[in-house]
Amino acid sequence: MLLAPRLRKPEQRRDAWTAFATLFLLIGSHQMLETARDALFLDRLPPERLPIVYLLVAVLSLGLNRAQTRISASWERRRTLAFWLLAAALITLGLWLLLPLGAPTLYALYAWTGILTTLVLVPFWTLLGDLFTVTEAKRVYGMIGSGSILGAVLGSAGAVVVAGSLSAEWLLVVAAVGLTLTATLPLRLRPVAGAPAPDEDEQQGPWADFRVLLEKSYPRQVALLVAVAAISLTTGDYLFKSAAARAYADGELPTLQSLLGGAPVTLGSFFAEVNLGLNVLSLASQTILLPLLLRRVQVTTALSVLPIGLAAGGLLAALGSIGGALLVKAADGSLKHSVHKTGLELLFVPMAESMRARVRAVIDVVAQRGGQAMASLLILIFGAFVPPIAFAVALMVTSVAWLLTNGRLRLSYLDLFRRQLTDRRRLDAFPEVDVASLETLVATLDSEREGEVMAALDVLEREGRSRLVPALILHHPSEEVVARALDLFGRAGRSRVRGHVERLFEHPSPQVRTAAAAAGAALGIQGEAMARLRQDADPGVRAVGAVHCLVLDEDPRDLDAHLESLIADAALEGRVAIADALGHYDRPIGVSALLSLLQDPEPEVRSAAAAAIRRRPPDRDMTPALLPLLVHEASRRSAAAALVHMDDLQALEAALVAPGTASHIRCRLPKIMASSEDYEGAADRLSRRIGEIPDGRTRFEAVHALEQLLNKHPNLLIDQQTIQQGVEQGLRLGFRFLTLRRALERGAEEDERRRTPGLDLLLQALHDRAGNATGRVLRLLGLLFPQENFAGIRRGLDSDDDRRRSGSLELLDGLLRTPVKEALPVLIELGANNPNLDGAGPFLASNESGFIETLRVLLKERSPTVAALSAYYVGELRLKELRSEVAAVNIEAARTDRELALHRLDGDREEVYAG
Amino acid sequence: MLVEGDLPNVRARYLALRALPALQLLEPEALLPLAESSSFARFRAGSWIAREGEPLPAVYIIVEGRVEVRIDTELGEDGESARDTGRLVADPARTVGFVSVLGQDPRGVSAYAHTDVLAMSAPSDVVLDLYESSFALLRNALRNAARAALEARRQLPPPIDPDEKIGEPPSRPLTFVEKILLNRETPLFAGAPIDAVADLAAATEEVRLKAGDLLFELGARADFSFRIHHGRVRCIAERGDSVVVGPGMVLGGLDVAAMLPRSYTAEALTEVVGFRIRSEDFFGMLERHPQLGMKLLSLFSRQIIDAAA
Repeated sequence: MLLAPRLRKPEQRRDAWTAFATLFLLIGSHQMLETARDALFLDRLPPERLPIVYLLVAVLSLGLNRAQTRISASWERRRTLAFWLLAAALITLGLWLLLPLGAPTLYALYAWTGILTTLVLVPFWTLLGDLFTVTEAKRVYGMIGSGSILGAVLGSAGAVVVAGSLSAEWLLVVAAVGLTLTATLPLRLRPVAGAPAPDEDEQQGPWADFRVLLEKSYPRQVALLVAVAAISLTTGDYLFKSAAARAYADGELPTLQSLLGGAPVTLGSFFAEVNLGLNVLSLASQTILLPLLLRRVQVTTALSVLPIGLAAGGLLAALGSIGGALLVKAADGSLKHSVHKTGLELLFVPMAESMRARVRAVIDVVAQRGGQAMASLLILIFGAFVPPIAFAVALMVTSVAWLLTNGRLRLSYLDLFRRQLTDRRRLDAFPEVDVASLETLVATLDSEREGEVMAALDVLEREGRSRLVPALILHHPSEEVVARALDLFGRAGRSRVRGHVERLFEHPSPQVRTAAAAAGAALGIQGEAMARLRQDADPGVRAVGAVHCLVLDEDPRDLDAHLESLIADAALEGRVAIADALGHYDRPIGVSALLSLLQDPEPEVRSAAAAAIRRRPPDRDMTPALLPLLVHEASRRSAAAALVHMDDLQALEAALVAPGTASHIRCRLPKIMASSEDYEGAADRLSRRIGEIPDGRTRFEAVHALEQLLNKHPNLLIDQQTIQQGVEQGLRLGFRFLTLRRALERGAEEDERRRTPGLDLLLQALHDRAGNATGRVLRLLGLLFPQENFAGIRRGLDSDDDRRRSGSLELLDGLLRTPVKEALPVLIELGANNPNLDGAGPFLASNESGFIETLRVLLKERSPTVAALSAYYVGELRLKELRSEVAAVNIEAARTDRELALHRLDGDREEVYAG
Repeated sequence: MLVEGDLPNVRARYLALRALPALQLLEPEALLPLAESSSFARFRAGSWIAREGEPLPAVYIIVEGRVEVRIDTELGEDGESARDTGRLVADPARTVGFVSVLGQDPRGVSAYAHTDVLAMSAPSDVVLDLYESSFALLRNALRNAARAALEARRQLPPPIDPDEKIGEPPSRPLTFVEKILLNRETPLFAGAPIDAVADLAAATEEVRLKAGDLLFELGARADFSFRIHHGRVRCIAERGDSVVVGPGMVLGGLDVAAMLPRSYTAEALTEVVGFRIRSEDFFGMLERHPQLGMKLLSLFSRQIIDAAA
């Protein structure tokens, strides 16, 4: 992890290493500066003056932030950082030159070492926040942060070397050189624009930034965390140092030190060796513990490790154990600059760029230093007369407060990503119809525009207000409108419009006469007028009239035979009209005629028959005959509507899993099932059977149908265990395809002759399959977490915007548990930059096989496409050792490619490929 | 007029959408999500609704008023006068931006309000999502775009270079994988998921015609498209003008997508080898792979724009 940040793009990797080097040099230089400061200040001035410089640092930090914003707000961020690093080098050199002035320079030097970090580290981390997304930052911040620790260690060692041969003043010169070198590095990073220009009416300055901090929930909670952590750490530091001082005074320190394996007994050497040990621990935390934590748990959970250590140490110290103070120091020293510091920096990354730029410095100055100052003040006031146990208790209390703040921050952290992925689709419900709306709708019926009238008729029927449609609409100039109104009157049983309908039997338009005949049949018009329709010039009208007369006149036992005869004699329009007419009866008549029409060779007739079935009372015997109509576009919609009307969940479920159901039919069944009145039954059947559905496409549709059901009925209960199994199955499948793909890629790397058009297709097919499995897993997870916006998460993952994508990944990280939590991101990235598929865990069923063995496996795939592609590829390479496997491919779609491959394998010897 | 005042509820929006000729064939279930996602917007006469080269945040359906959309983009307004201006009418649904957004044309669109305009607007990304998730909407958009493209290119496909060589006919039928490889060469299927191309290849039927054979006749039902693999085909429009096309050309696809009868007669000039795909199979494949439907829409839009430019 330390040496290989898992980043996709080379420029990102370069940025990570440049940032590491910048931090290493910067902290190394700063360490030298601090050594010089301590040596020069404490050598010439009494320690009692230290509180003055602490105060000076706090005041200057605030002012400096303001000046820094004014000077470089609009600059490109890399230039800002380079400028301040160079300025820092010059100021350091200036202080060296001014050293002969004595005390004033020493105060300035002390304050300068304090504010230098604010001056350059704030723009440094702000710049990194712009360069990396949260996901990338979690991968590289650990490595970059180790630059800080290594810089501190080597900077201290360098200071010892320099101080051994030269006077302490020269450390300032070395630090200035180091800072100058550091200033050359930021320009090697990718350019990032400066902070967006604030709105004209937006207030600026530290106070305005502080107000923003107070107003915005997430930055406010980060600030609170930083402040509480500062108080707790300062208290812990005091606890340790006071315990060590007491132990030294009591002569117990040597015992302590002997435990650590040291020989000398002075307080200074004790601290030196403890610090050395802690630096080693800190480096180990940064390089081993931190990556582990960031991979396994959320950032806020990682940030809880240090307060837990401090609270435990505080508890031991409260019980009177000296080991408590040591534990506090161990936690502080090993975790503060590694896990804690990196974790804090990660909390800033998901903030909007403009927000991050405004609150970063305020949090650093006010929360961090304010927390330290407050704790110091309290220690100063109470330290002299409060027993040490009180500080141990205070440490426990503040550590618990820290943990609680972390807990609250976790929710806000996830909310931040949720907001970024918020579905912008506005869904307001179709409201209850009111008088004003009805007036508008009825008034629209007077419109001369056909489309508007049709729309109003649609809406009125949809809302069950067909009776408000006036009979006068039958005089509308548009034939379409009249035909639509007749249909509506017929279905609504508007018997009072019979007279109007009967008059339309003479209408010049066949379309209107057919519609009038159908409405007349539905409204029970009988007698001469109806009989005349049998003589109409239009075959459609004649057919409707004939059907109606047959229904009225015939013995029901003879009706079917007569209808069959009528159908046999009718042309296309006639058969459509017969089918349509049969839909107007709410009695089970003409069933066999409808079944016959469902098998008509013309799709229009089949579609009309399905539409007629939809208008009649449900007759589940029709279900099997309707299923084949789902194949064809012309009849699909009416067939699906009729099947929804049948609501025969049992038959649909059986067809869903039956091996003989055509895949083009099967894939449409989940949606139809989801439209059932019995939505709970539909959800139960779909979720139970999801694992038994033979093809991936229908499994995907089943999940999609369950999603729709959950959207419509949020309280619907879906069997979680089945869905969880589906998630695990999907992950296993995804990794299987990834592994197979990798084996082929590796084979092609070993021998370039293996790169052929067939290989490209095969690789693409395996890639697609892994992607499909991932998509299904994400949708299943949406069923497990119905309260989360998984549609938004999916869109984020598909997005070209790295930050949106990263936000989705972070949300998933917060929602999921091990091992799915680690495996899913690997699958989402399809193993990019992850050659060993680290994180796949139990979902990686087997290790990668050899090239030939992989092809052997692929030739046995159930998928016709994969089997055919594999056979074709084996033929391309003339891999004779796979001949028997090719010959055994027994899938119809792959037949031609199997034959071609066998021909190639058995054919021209000159073309034989050695493999 | 359907909309008076703001009438902000979804019913009013549904009603306004339902009244549009281009959306009338849609089932209410398909149209409702669009109504739910849209809102009413008003523009003063003389203002710009959208400017070419700028991101198009929303698409607009003109309810009242006149809007002009500049050539090289699209025009949708409330009358035929758009043609009088010599500018393009690319969208018969009186819309602004649909062709650009659904066709994912990075150039955007310039739309100018000639009068006060009342429009319905829907966010571009939501519209894209809706069309990707609802095949009924996508199919309807394809139908409208195909009709516009047919009109824009005056029914006939573009001719080929007469000197282009057609080579020898293939000696044996292509295998399933070879059909996949061939399909991947077309703009629609370049980079498409293998399953989509395989679906199509599995449904593709190889056809061999002799010189003089009819592929299809003007006015016949359009229920398949045909990709020429080898040979030349003459296409003759109703008014008698004709073009000769050759390998790589897909014939009859726009008729199928537009759900219209054949707009020309196609006759083999030489021996022809090609692949026939039934409309059922083609649109079934698009329904299973909606991203390809969006890409096809984009290709149709490009044809409209190119034909008008």
